[in-house]
Amino acid sequence: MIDIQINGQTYQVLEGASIIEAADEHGIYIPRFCYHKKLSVAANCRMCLVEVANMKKPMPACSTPVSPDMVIFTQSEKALEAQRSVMEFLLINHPLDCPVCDQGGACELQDLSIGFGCSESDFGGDKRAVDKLELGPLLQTYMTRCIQCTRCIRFSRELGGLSELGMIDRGGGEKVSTYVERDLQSELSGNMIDVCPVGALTAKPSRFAGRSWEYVEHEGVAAHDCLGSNMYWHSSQHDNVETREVMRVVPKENESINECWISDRDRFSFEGLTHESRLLSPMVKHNGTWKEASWEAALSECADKLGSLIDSNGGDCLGVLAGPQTTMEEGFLLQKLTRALGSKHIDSRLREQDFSDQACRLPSPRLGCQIADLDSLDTLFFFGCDVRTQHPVLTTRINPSIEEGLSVCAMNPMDYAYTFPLTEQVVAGPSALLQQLAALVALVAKEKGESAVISAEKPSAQTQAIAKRLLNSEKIALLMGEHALASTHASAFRSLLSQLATLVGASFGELPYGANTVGLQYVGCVPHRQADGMALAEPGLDIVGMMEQPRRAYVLCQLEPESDVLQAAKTLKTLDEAALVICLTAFESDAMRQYADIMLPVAPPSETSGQFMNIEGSIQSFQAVTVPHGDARPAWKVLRVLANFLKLDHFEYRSLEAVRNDLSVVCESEDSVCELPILKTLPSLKENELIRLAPWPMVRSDALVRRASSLQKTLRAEQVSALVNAAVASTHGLSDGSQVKARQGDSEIEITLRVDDRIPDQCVMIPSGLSISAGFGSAEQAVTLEKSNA
Amino acid sequence: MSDTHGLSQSTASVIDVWIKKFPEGKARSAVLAGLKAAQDENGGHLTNEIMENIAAYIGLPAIEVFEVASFYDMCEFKPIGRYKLSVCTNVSCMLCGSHAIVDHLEKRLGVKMGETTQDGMFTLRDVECLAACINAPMLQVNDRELYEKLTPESVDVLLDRLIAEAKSGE
Ligand code: SF4
Ligand code: FES
Ligand code: FES
Repeated sequence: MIDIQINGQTYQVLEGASIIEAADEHGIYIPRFCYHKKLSVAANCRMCLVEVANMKKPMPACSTPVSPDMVIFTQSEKALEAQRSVMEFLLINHPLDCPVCDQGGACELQDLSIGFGCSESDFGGDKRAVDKLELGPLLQTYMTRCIQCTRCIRFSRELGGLSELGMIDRGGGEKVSTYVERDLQSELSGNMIDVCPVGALTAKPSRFAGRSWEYVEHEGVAAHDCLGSNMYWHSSQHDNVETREVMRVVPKENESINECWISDRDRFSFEGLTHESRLLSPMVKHNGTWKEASWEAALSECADKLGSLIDSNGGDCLGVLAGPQTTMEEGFLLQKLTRALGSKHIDSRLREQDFSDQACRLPSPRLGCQIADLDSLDTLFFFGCDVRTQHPVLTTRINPSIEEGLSVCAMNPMDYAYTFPLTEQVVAGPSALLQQLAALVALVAKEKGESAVISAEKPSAQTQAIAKRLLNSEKIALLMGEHALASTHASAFRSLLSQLATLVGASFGELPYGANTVGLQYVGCVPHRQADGMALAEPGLDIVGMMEQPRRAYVLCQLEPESDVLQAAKTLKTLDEAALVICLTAFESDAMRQYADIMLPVAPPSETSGQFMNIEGSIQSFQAVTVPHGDARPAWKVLRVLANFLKLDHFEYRSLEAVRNDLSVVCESEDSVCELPILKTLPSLKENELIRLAPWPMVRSDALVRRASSLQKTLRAEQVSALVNAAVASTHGLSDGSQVKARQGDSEIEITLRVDDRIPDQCVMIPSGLSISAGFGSAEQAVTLEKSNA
Repeated sequence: MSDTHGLSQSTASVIDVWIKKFPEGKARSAVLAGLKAAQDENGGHLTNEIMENIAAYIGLPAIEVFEVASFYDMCEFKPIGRYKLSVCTNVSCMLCGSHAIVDHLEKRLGVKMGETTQDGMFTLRDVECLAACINAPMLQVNDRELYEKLTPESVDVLLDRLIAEAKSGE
C-alpha cells in the first residue's frame, strides 16, 4: 500500500493500481468511456484526464499508475478543461438524437455531457455517418453513435473469447465492424450492449419498449443454468402492479458468481413469458375435450381422482417429476406431498439415466470448488462438457485465464466449439471415451506409484499428454459435464473421475443442467433420500424406473417431458397410458394436451418468489416481479392447497416464509463426504452400434427459453440437423444435406443430415429439445440412420 | 508439407519467416508481411478469401486480419492497374504543389483520383505523408519506388517510361 493524495485528501491505495482504480476504490468519480474494470486498458477516449502535480500535461487516469506521494486533482481547472475539451471532441461526430435513442436515460455519454459538455461547439463541419451493422437477432446497432471506445471489441476478444468485432479502416473513417457481415455467434453477445457507453449497441428484443426511468428494477436470479447468475428484471409500471410486465433483463454484479456478465439465454428468455402458449386458467379434460375450470373445481378434481387411485392402489401408484425451475420451496412441498400420499417415487434428475451409484453420491451435486476459483487454476479438465453452450458465463472466467497460463484439457464425445484453446483433447464416442478415461486413471496411478485399480487399454497419445499435464499441475479442477451426466456410463465416469481427482490432488465436481436441479435434490426431490438428506434403505423409483414400471398417476411440476427428459419416447408413451396425469405448468403444448388430464397454471420464475440453490451450494432468494398472468398461481400455493384438498396434515403454511422456515429446519445443511464405489472393471461395451449424442442447444434447454422468440432465431443450421462425420456418412450411403430417417425403437424422425468432422466415429448427433426432436427416442442410446425416400 | 490453408507455398513461407522474427506467441506480427506477399501474388489486390486464409494459417480470427488490411493504404480490395501511383497530398507536398501534379495526372490519364485507366495500366491514389517531405512533392509506384521533386514534365517522363516498360514486358 502506498499513500497518494486526491483532491487534497490522503488515501492508502494499492501499489501498481492505476489512478482510476485507486479513485474508484475510494468513491471518487473520474469520467471515463473506454475504461472498464473487467477489460484491458485501451486509453483511447481520453475522457479520464486528470491533473497530476509536477506533470505538465493532464494524464489519463486509466493508464497512469499511482506512485508514492502522487498528488492528483480530478476537478481542478486544468482537469476540467481537459475533460470538457475531450467531451466536445467526442460530440463532434456523435448525433444529437437522444430523443429517439434507446439508450437515452441510461447513456454514459448523455450523463457525462450533462456534467462536462458545453452547449456550444466550435465544430461547424458535417458530422460523419456510419452504416448500420447487421449483427443478428439480438443486437440492434446504430453505428453513427459509436465513439470508438472499443469496449465491445475488447469484450468479444478478452471475455467472449471469439473476436467477432474489430475496428476497421482508420482516422475519421474508423468503424466497428465484423467486416464480412455475419451474425454474432457468441452466447454472451448481450454483454456488449451493457459495456457500450452509448446507444450504438442496443438490445433488439426490448428496443423502443420503454425508457429506463419508467422501469422498476427488481433483483433476480437467472433461471437457466446452475451458476445462479445475479440479474435484474426491469419491469414497466411503477404504480400498477396488476398490469406490470417484464420489459428486459440486465446483469447484476456479483463478483463471486457472474461478475458483471450474463448469458444471452438469461438476458433474452423473458420474451417467453408472454408467449401465446401460456396456460392462463386451470384446464380439465373430460372425455377427450379440454374445458377451462375454476381453481376450486380443478383442485377438487385432482384430489378426487388422485385420492381414489391411491385409495384403491396405494400411494405406490404415484410418480412425481420436478423440472429445474421449480423453486426449493416448491420442491420441498412437492416431495412432502408425494411422501404424505405414500409414494417414494419422485425425481428431479431429468437428464440422467444411470443412477446405480446414487446412494454414494453427495445429496446434491457440487462444483467441487468455488466458481471464482476457476480464475486461478493451473489446469482445468472437462469431461463430457460443452461449457460454452451449457454454462456460458463460466467461459468469461476461462477465456481471460488462458492468457494467465491456464491450460484446459478435455475428453469429449465431440470436438465442441469452445471459445478457448485446448492444451490436450481426446474426442471419442461414449465407449472409447470410457476406455480412455480408465486408461488415464491407470496411467496416472502408475506414475504416482499406486497400484492400478483398473485394468485398461493402452492410453492414446492424447491421453498420455493429458496425464502428463495433470501430473505436472498444482491447482487442478475436474468437471463432469452434462454429456457425462446424461450418459448410460455416468456412474463409471464419476467413479473414475473421483479416483483421478484423488490421485492428482484436484477438486472434482459436476455441472448439471438447470437452474435448481441442485436445490431440488437438496430438498429431497429424489427417490433415495428424504428431505433431511437421510438415505432410504429402500429407495423409490427414479425417473427411468418410473417409466419402466409405469405408475397409474403422475404429477409433473414445471417440465415438458417431450422436450425435457432423456428418454422422451418412452416417457410420452407411459404418460399416455397412465390413468391420471396432472401437470403444474406455465405453458401448455400439443403433446401435453395429449397426455395430461388436468393442467394447473403455475407461475414462471418472474412471477413467483422463491429460492434456487446454485452449484456452489449457495441459496439465493428472489421476489416475484409481476403478478402471475391470467389465473396462474405460484406452484407453492397450488401444492399447499392441493394438499389441503387431499386432507393431508401439516400443510397449513400461511406464507412462503413459513414454507421456507420449515425447509430450513428440516433440510439440514449436510457435510457429507461422497465415497463413490471404486470401479474395478469397465461395464461391457457394445462396439458396433451408432450412438445418439443428444445435447440440448442453449436456446432449447427449458420451456421458458424455448418460447423466447429472438433467441430461437439464433439457432444455426448445424444445431437443428443430424451430424455425422464423413466416414459414418459414407458407410451409410448418406451425403451432406440429405434427408435421413433416424430410428430409436419405435420412434422415428426425419431430419436433415450434415457432415461434420467434429463428431467421432460411431456417433450421430441429433439435438434434443428441438421441435422436430420432441418426443423422439432416447439420448445417449443406440440409433439407426437410413436415407429417407421423401 | 504442412497445411497452408489455401495460401501458396511462397506466401506461407514468407509468413513463416516473419513469424520467426518475433517472440513466440506473437505470430500476429506476421499479418502485414503475409498480406503484402499475397497481394503481390494475386496481381495487386486482396480478396476476403485470401485474408481468411491468412488468418487461418496464422491462427487468428479473420477480423483481426481485416483490421490490419483495412488500416493500411497499401492494401487493395479491388483489382487495380498494373502501376499504382500513390500521390502524396499531405501538407508538405501540398505546399510544394501536389495539386498541380494531381491535376496533370488526372488530365493525362483521363481518370479521377482513385480510379483505374481503361487499359488497366494505372491506378491513381492520393495518400498521406510518405516521409519524403524534404523532396516534396512526391509519388510512389506500386508501394515501392519513390519519385521526388515532381513536376508535370518529370511525371510525363515517368509515365512514358512505365508504358514502355509494360510494352516490352508483354
Ligand atoms: S459500439 Fe459502443 S462499445 Fe463498441 S466501440 Fe462503439 S461506443 Fe464503444
Ligand atoms: S477512460 Fe481513460 S482514456 Fe478512456
Ligand atoms: S507530406 Fe508528402 S511526403 Fe511528407
